[in-house]
Amino acid sequence: MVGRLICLHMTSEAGTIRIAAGWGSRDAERLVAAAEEDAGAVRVLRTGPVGVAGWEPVLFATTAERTSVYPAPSIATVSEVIAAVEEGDGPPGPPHSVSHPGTATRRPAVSGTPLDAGEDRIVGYAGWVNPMAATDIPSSLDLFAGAARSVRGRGWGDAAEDIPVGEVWDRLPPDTTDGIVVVNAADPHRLAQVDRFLMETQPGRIIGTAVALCDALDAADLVVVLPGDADQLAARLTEGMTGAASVSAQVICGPELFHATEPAALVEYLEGNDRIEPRRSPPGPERFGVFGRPTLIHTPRTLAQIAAVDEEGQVGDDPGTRLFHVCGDVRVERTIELAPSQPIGMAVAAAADRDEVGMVIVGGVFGGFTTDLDLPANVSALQAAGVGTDGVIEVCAPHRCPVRIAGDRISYAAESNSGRCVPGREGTVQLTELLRSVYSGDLDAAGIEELARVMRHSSNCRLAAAATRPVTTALAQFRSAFEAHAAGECPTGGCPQLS
Amino acid sequence: MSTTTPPSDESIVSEKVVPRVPTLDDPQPTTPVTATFAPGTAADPPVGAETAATVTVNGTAVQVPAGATVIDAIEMVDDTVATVASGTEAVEAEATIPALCHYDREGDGSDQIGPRSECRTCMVETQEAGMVPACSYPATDGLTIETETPEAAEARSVNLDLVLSNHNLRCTTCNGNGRCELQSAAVGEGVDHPRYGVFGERDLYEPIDDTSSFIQIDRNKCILCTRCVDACNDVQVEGVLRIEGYGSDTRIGFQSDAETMAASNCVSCGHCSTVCPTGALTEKGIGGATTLPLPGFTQRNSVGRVIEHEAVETIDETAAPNRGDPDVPAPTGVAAYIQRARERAGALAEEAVIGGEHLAENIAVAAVPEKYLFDIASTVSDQRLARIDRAETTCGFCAVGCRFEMWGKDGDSLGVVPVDDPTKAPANNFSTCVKGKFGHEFANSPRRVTEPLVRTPDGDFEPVGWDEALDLVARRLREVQEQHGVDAVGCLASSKGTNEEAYLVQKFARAVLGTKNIDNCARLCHSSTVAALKRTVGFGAMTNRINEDIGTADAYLITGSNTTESHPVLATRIKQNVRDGATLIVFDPRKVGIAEHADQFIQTRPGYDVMWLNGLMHHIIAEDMHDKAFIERNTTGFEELREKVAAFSPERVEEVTGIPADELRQAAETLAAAETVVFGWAMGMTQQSHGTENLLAMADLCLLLGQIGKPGAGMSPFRGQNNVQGGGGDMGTLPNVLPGYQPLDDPEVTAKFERVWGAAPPSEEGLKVPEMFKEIHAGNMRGMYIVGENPALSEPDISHAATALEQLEFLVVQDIFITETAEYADVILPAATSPEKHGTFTNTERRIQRVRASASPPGRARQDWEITSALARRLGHDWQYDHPSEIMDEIASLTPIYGGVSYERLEEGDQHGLQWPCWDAEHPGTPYLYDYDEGEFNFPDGKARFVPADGGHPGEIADEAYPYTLTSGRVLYHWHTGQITRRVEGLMSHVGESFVEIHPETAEELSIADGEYVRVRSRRGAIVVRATVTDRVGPATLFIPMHFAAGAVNKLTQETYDPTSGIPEYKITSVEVEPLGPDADPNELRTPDVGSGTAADD
Repeated sequence: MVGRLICLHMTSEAGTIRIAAGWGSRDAERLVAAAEEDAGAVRVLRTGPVGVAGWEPVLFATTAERTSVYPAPSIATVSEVIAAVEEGDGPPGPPHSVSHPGTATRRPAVSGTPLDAGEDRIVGYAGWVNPMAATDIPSSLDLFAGAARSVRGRGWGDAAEDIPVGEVWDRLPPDTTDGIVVVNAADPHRLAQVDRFLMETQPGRIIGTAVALCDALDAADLVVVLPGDADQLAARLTEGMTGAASVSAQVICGPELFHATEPAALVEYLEGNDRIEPRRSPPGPERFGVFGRPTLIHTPRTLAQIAAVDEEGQVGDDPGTRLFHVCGDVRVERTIELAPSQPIGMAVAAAADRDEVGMVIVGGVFGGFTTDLDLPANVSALQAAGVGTDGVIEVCAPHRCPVRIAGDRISYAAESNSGRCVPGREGTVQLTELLRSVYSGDLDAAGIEELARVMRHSSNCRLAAAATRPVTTALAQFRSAFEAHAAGECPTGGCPQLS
Repeated sequence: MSTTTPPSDESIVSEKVVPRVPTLDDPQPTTPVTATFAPGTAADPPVGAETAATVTVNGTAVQVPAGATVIDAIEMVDDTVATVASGTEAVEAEATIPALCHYDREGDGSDQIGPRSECRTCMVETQEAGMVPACSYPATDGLTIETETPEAAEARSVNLDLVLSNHNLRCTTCNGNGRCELQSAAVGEGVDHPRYGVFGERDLYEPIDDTSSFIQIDRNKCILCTRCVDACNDVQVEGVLRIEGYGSDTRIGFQSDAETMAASNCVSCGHCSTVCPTGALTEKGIGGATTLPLPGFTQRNSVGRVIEHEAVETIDETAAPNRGDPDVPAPTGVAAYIQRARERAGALAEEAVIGGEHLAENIAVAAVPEKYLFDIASTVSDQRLARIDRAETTCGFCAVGCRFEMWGKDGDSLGVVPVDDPTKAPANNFSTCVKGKFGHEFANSPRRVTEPLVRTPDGDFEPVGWDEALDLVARRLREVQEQHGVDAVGCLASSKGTNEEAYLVQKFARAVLGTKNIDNCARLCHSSTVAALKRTVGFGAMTNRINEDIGTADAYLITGSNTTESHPVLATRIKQNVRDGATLIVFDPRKVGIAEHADQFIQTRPGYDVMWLNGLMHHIIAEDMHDKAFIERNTTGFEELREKVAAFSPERVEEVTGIPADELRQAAETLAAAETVVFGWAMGMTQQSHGTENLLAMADLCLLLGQIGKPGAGMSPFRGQNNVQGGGGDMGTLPNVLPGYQPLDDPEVTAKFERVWGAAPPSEEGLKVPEMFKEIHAGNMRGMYIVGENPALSEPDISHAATALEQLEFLVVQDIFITETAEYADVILPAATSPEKHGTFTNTERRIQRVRASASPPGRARQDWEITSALARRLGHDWQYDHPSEIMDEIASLTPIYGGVSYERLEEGDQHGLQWPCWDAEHPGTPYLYDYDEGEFNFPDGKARFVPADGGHPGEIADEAYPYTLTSGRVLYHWHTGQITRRVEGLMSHVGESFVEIHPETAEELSIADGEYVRVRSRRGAIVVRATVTDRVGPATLFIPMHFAAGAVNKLTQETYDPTSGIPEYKITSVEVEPLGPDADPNELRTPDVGSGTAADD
């Protein structure tokens, strides 16, 4: 069924020209137009971004045995490459090329380019496949009972964040027929890039997996929620999904409010509430979701891992890989995929020089501070270190002040919560005040820890609990910096109000 | 005092269209009204566990039912194991878990509120799920709960301090002092000095919204529990309040564009202030009752910035309030100007006081730990609460019979709060409407009659002593009877007074005066209902209960009832049930409030109700949808009915009434398909020249569908006045029956009365109210004793009624004000009103309930039963009652349906009150009349009677000269002839003057602009009223409320009566309308149509 609505991934024996870039890139569109005009036997494929900021559009020229890469090519280069491939000469002497079978389903690593870091189980589809190509999911029963059950949900927007998705699936009411599956890519925070990346590079695989969940659930509706500003992408996906028969599928742009993209709040948005706050739980959306219907909410990251783990049968405590948007004080912002055993330092190294790294914040806007780059990229290790699991690694140069960043983050939480519960509404304000007091010489570490502990234990949604993480990890890791601030000094010089 | 607009919050409603996912099915029921609600709160899942469970609390196992939360489990274990309580109970019980935002009341209504689970002061630890909020976490099987772990105690303590951190802790000036659940929780938890301080940055204070007459909003005291939002949207189903903004900008706002309470579409039901746990939403009447009694130390002054209320006029100030320039919306006039000027002056004078108050407050805040502030505040509130008179009583407005605790002080009425135990308020739990909650201020009016008044030869009233007044009345009544015969005197009892008082008035008429002429205003409201139901099912009363039956029906046929305005609390139950999936069909000439909630609304033409009722029955029988087994088992006369309705095919009905045949069929099929149906009606059906026929047809329809004698079904005439069921009927204040509807002509019955009364009641049927007026004109009736009635305004064709009152040789009026009727009196006897009384009222569901005094009658005014008794003694009858309970004992001894009623028993049992018939001291009362299986109709054979009904035309038909059909009725904010509600500023601020509703097409035809004054003329007379252009009425139909003396609709109505019941046809009058524009004469506007308004001038 998915195959019917989404074009299958196809290559041509004569060669394939891929032009990879984010949707809405005018440069890419011009290149595609030129390529299609020039192409004869070679197939021209417009693909999504490759996940390396500033390195797009990228031209991939693939023949039977090799692929050459041309970053930011001119139209003339495109014409030249196509002509060479058509004539059987192979791509003209580029600096970067790699030998591999031209029918490969995933992009090969290309040494000497940014495309040679990390795993490629998910990222390998990026810039390579026809975005609308669907993954080949086995029968739905197998999906629900199979290895994918143990995939842990990824991200703020996933109803099974950090726990095996099977635990949530088991809570679905038995024999439900009015279920809804929601693909939640709506997180609007600037740091949250991975889900959008997946929806730009491989929506077919993501939606195909969601459709398989619909089948497993006998769910009648599928809703894809994109970030609030992703109108163009929404239009493309809607167009690509036209003709869906077995499920009613629709793509919408989500709320531009951070707190409203948490699953317990997103259901309110989907119902059309004009003020969005998270619902009381339990039960969660899987039992009482949109209009009271059972609603399964997963992020594209989770769905991508479900598909991959299902294909490969991988097991373990935290099966699959983890995708990180590496940003901050880096040479280049990029998306890196790590296996559970690989250290986060691998991702950092792909984006920044080691001596330029003071600390990292792992887990997004409410991530935790760490200086331990050997930390493996799996849930147990990340949680044990007190950092977040959300797919963001923010690199902080040595001159960054942890006290100031922690203060900024809790202040953001105070401004961006729904206002529903006291720990969220008042706790974030008072925690901000406690950090502010540090600057006036009053460091109440026990008070900070007490309030953070209570917020973690008693908030209605995940926001207030998560929001304490930057504060508590900063305090734990950089206690001396806090003490110095209380004494009127910022050791890194990052706080302008302290000389 | 500065008047500031609160900061607007742009995030309230995004201009962006809300991207509701359009094709997702919404299985949740809504009504057309509730679908538009935007309360800003999440649609939380159902609360509690899905199945019954066994959980462990601090090591003690406890079994809980399905739907239970952890709090329920904790409440079920022994108090030595764990305790939880919110509010004042928390302190009394020394509860370990404060559960601040939890609304802890039994009953369906309060189940609609929360759990919001906002404050998180009820955190407990579980082995299975870690820390959870007890108020909302489901008590699932096997859950192991520990309440006293250090983490749980820490979470409760920190969260309570977080609440306090954003609370303006000014207890000693707070209107909520002494009834504040936050204060109680803090005291209970031993809060000394909150970790995060309290909200005291004066620059950040939000101005108090004092714009409503009744409810003050101080958002600085708000803890955002959103009980008020739930109460407004889910309990009252009104959709006014919402929560808006996010994070620290979160606040309570309005769903309309309004910035203030006065500008919102609030109906002032008061639910929000009833459920508010703090001083954020308070009743202005009670405001300050428990605060530090220092001049200037008030919540208003403490906060400092106030958006002020603009007062309107009442009849205490002027005879024709708020009538003036059509271009200037009410309020207008000199009085309003003076009032505003006075307020401004007052505000200036207060500034110095405020400065001192702020200084004192600031010093206290800086120097005194919060604990001591709590102690001071608690001491103050305890002392001041002890000086407030509090009494559980029954509402004196409509007949729903709401009960509440009334507060009074120094003899005055302050306001109303819910009863502690919800079983003491079976009809309403904690619900009220605007009048019940806030409408009692009239009792404190300076215009109350405080001493007996006697007319002097020059026409003025002169105060006299009671002895003199009573002697005069006794002498004059005796003289009239001696000269013109005993029946030359008539008595009107009141449906507003107590059962005991009504009983005494008819006893006075029959046993003391010996006249057969006793009636009351029930004649004007449901006499046709009583007549029809007595003929068809046997008892002339509602067959069912309010909550248990009306609140749970699967379908409704509501017709001729403006339920949301006339019976607001009862309407709330219907609105809730319809929102939850019940089907509502409304037939009415106006698209009244309840019709807005309807699944099917059919706009009828006044006067043709038998047609469509017969049409419904025609279709039901034609389609074989009637309940044949019930009919066979329990009824007679079905064949006659079948023959009668055979002619009323839907097409035929359409020809006469204009109701589309298909719509009629659809309604019939909906009613026939429903499991249970409640048939509800009020004066739209009764007040017609074919009123009895209308209700015969209604009863036939109910019997045809077998929708009676079972839960969730039945016939529900919504009785109007608080005690019209008891005082207007049960007590025998009718010319044709004795108390308990016993016949006048049964010698056994009359002998029984004679034994107790010492005189036999006249066996001949007396005159009905309209007949009395006719006999006055004819010179046969010469004297009247009118208790708590105002026929000068309530009779049809009041000009004609006025000449009758003038013509009386002797008129004594017993009332609380110099009413329009009292202006004709020779003697006025000052009486008491419901907040000043002991006694009983019988509500519309036949429930007899206690009435208690929390205030005292002003001056030398007396209880009505005392006055009537004193008069009887003057006339030689030794009436010695020391308390109304003794009168009730006499009633019970003589009235079989009240046979088991005593004051003691009213307070016993699962619920307050007893529903008649209650045959003897062991009888439990009768929740609903009749029995679906056994019949048990009130006839010797136990069978109900089908009585085929015929319609015919109304008494007056629109013609060329008077082309429009006028109907009359009530508005939410007023009561009967408005004598009490037109004195309450807040009620007048909602509807301050009479008006006429005109359909936009008609308005255009006549060039009438909205808000302009128009002259409405009938064959009887003309009045000037303000036009309201609205499609609530159909084209060519007009509506004018019945409550006003200036713009008095009964100057237009006609003396056409239902031949059976004698009810006037108020609902149909042919009129013409003429716009006045700028030509409206100010003098005419400021002169009432009835009464001189002299009462306002002295």
